[in-house]
Amino acid sequence: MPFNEIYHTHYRELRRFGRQFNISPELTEDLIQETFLRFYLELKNKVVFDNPRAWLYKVLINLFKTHLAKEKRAMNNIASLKAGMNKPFDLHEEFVISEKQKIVFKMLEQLPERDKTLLLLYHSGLSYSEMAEAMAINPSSIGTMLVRAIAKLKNELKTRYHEMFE
Amino acid sequence: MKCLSREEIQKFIDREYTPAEQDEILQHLQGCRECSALHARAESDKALIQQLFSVLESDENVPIPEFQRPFPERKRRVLWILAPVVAAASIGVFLLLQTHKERPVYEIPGPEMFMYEYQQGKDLNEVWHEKGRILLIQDQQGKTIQPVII
Repeated sequence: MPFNEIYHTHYRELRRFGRQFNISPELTEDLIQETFLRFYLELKNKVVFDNPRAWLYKVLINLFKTHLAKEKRAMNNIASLKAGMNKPFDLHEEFVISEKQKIVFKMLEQLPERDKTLLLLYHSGLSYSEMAEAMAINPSSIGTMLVRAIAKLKNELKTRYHEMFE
Repeated sequence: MKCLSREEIQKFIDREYTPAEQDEILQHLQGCRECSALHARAESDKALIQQLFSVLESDENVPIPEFQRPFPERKRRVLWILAPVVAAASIGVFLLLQTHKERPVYEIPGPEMFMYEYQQGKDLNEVWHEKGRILLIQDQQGKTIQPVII
């Protein structure tokens, strides 16, 4: 498949995923451009992709993680300068529009990072093998991990936010 | 066929089995009450996730921006070769212009022109530009041609 076609097929999907990951629209777009740039360069280097979609997700997730780590470090530096300002970094405060979204974001924050990513990828409609590639885990353990993540999410929902989604 | 685990049900829902396996499981579900209850619960979990996460979806129809293609490799290489050449050339041109620039030329006036201070009735301690001065234009024998008071 030529590059342009892949770009147009997956752009919106990746953007939606980024937004669900609680990334601001501008940053999401930057990271997606970066992802596609890497993809483009890989294609230039004659790399053959079995599954470009999973690869794109993987790169995007990694870019986002890197960005978040950088951001956190910066926040920690500032915090160490101003003692007492040790508040954890809150992405969702800034970008979320609706209250419901805020609650879902908060709930996802409670989950371990891996479960959160897995659930979002699952919601994006990736197959098990694609999820495994995107998250660099063994494909055979995806089923188990997914079931556990769903259970954790349900538990979270029951204990904290039962009044919301009924 | 023996009863299914929660993972297997999940895989069945997500259509991760081959069509033959899917059929086999479907048949089992129709016959087994326990498994079909588990299946119903798994289905509702999946629906819950979809419902929950669909809240997060916003601005669906944003326009897809144009992909910014990186500079083609070949052109880039040409640029790297050209860059120092252009830099050297521009420095050369600059230096050339610098040396050929016209400078004002100060020539020492000829021996026939002298300037004297105008002393009579003037305070010589006055500030220079407030002093009166007289310019005596003389010929080579020392004869005054024309005095000029400045």
